[in-house]
Amino acid sequence: MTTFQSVFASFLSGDGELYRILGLTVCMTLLSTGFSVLAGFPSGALLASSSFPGKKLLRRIIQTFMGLPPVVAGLFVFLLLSRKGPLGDLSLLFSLPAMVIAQFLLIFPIITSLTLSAIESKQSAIRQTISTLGLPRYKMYLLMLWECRRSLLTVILTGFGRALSEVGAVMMVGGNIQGKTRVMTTAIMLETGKGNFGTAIAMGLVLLILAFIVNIIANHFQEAVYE
Amino acid sequence: MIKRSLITHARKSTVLITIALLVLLPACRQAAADTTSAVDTSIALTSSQADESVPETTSMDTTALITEAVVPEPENPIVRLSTTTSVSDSGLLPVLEEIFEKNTGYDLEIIANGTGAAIKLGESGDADVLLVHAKASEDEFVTAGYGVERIPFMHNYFVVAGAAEDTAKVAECQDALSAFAAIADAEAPFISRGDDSGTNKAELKIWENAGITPSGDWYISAGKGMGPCLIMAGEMKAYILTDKATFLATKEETELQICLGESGDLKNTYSLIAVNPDKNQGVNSEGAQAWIDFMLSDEAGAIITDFGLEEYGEPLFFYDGAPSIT
Amino acid sequence: MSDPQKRPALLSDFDEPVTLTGLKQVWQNRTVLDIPKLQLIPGRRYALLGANGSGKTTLLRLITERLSAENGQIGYLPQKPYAFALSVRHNIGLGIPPGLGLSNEEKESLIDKQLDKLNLTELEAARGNRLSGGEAQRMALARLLVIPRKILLLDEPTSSLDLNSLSEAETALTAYLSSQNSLMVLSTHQLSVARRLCDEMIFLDQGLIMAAGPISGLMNPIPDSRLSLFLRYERGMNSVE
Repeated sequence: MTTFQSVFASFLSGDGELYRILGLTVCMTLLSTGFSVLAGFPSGALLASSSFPGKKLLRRIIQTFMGLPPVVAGLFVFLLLSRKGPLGDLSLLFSLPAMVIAQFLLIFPIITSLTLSAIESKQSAIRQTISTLGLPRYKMYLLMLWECRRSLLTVILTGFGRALSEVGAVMMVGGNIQGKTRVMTTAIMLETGKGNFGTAIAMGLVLLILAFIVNIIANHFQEAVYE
Repeated sequence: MIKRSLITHARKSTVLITIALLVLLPACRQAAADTTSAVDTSIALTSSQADESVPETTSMDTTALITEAVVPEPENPIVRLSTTTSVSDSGLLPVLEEIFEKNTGYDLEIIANGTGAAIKLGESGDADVLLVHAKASEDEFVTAGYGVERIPFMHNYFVVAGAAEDTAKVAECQDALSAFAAIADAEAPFISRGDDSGTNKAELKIWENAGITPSGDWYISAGKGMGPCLIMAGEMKAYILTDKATFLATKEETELQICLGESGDLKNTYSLIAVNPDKNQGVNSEGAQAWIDFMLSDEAGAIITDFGLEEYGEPLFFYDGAPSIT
Repeated sequence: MSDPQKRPALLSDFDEPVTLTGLKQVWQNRTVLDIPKLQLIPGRRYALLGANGSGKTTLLRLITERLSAENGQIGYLPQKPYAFALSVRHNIGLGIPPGLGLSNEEKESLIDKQLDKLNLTELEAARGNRLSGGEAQRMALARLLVIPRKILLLDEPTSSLDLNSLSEAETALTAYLSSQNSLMVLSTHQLSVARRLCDEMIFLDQGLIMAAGPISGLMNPIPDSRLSLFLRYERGMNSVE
């Protein structure tokens, strides 16, 4: 139990290493969720309001990718960025950008699919009203997203939670390098591998608390936006 | 009209689910069959071990031939071996596992972890026997009463591997101390396991002996197993201290070279330790002993000595056998 | 989309009568609408009459699909207009297309005018999705009337209004029409509204035009025609005629 307390103590006292890990975790998660939302919201809105041959098939494909195994995504990105791979010259392997890329592959389908579902029900009524108002297309999508904002907030949280808890892909393409790509989840794996179970559990709790805080902030937003 | 489409939907889903189950069911049965057939085959072959020309037969055939008494199935057939990722990455264990299981009827479960966790599993009784290579930690383990006895039985050497370019000119060094010094001077990228493993501890010892505290961007502490670290070293064209076995096993993938081969200060000793059954419940000490006996046998010795010879042209491990009683 | 009759006709100067042909819609093996030819003359106000399910909404929708114009020259008010979760002011402002190049002050004053005309000034800052049915309908009408439009297509705009809102809406609409001289097609099943606001009528029954002509034709329908049956039914429904 003493390692437990020592982890929290060192955390509260501002121990550099733990802060670095936490900082990297938050940075990576915000970036992957951010990019996924920036790409996923418009994609979902666009898909919801268009109909074209093969839409059903495309929808099934996206839903399948929602369940993409993280290690598969990790392997794919690894091979892509490896020195022998097509993008090897960019020297991106074992870096924060690599982790963000792998996470984006995992989270973008989730956000797109959930956004599509959220907007579907309202899109036809909105489109009918907007149709002759002469508004540009992007404005219509913005309005759709705004009208479904409550569900969309949950969508963002889902993506965020996924990114925060990811370990397989992040380990493969990040490399768990101390100070550079070590995030909470991979650090927990390392400590567990070392046998420092107390430390690992303590870090796990810190991660949970972080997720909890994010949820509180999000709820705050919901209240504000509701009124 | 709606009703009709509902019925066809229900029918379609039933068909799909039935197909899925039919595909999965044999897989489950196969898995169950594997464990039982392994026991069957071992019983059959044990009785015919004297005759070395017995061909590999299925459990069905041999069981039919058995008339004499067979080796009784052990009461607790599962032996949990806790070992390190380096050992696991070298590929040696599955070979030994197969023979062991055939010979004794035990079912060996191999759990690979970092050295720290591997030993911890022994402390908590989640393993029956350890195969690790970190002398200091092993001694602690036995002294604290968790292990029965430390039995060193084989060794190999660490080597310093690096990219073909060898920017720090490690190949010109005579021993590990000077090699590490050269790397530190050149600030060439160096990958450390960073995970308190046996390899990591050996590496840190060398830095200590060389009087160098490695720090800076060139010193990369990756918290990963030996195999993944080697791959990283290959990617980043960095130096790394590794055991020869895992190096050879991943050589093709990493395109690394040995810059400093075996030297006196790079010996890496592997030991077997049976977990003390008195400290925890449910420890299979008979099974552990069976494994240790097997590993100290000539048969195992031959397998270990030959391992890797054909593929790499040199042995990966050097077998010492049971330590001589003095 | 390759059928030339089906492609949207561009209205840059709507001074000539527009003829639409082949207005047909089939839904689940039922012919919902089948109008071979429809002529709309600028400045006229058409009342689209018919029972529920006669194809009024479909016809209005098809007209919007066939006619295309820029910058909101065609205004369409659906039966259940969508009220966005923004302020009433913002909602009305959505009716002003950005392409017109109006300054912010001009936009604000247009919105103010509508707020005043439809008695929505007090609700200016209220959330659109929190309004009552009648208030939301008035807001949607304000959104429609906020800028001059060449064509107005309204689908049952007054059906859910109470008497007070109804008179405000009608006054606003009448004033708009007299100043803008827009073409209007207004679907309704309230004869009084039709008579007050329109000068031509089109009667739909099961997707077909059964009668069309000046609104005075409602006074002397052909006996036992579908129209006369409809009128009798409606008169029975609204005894105040």
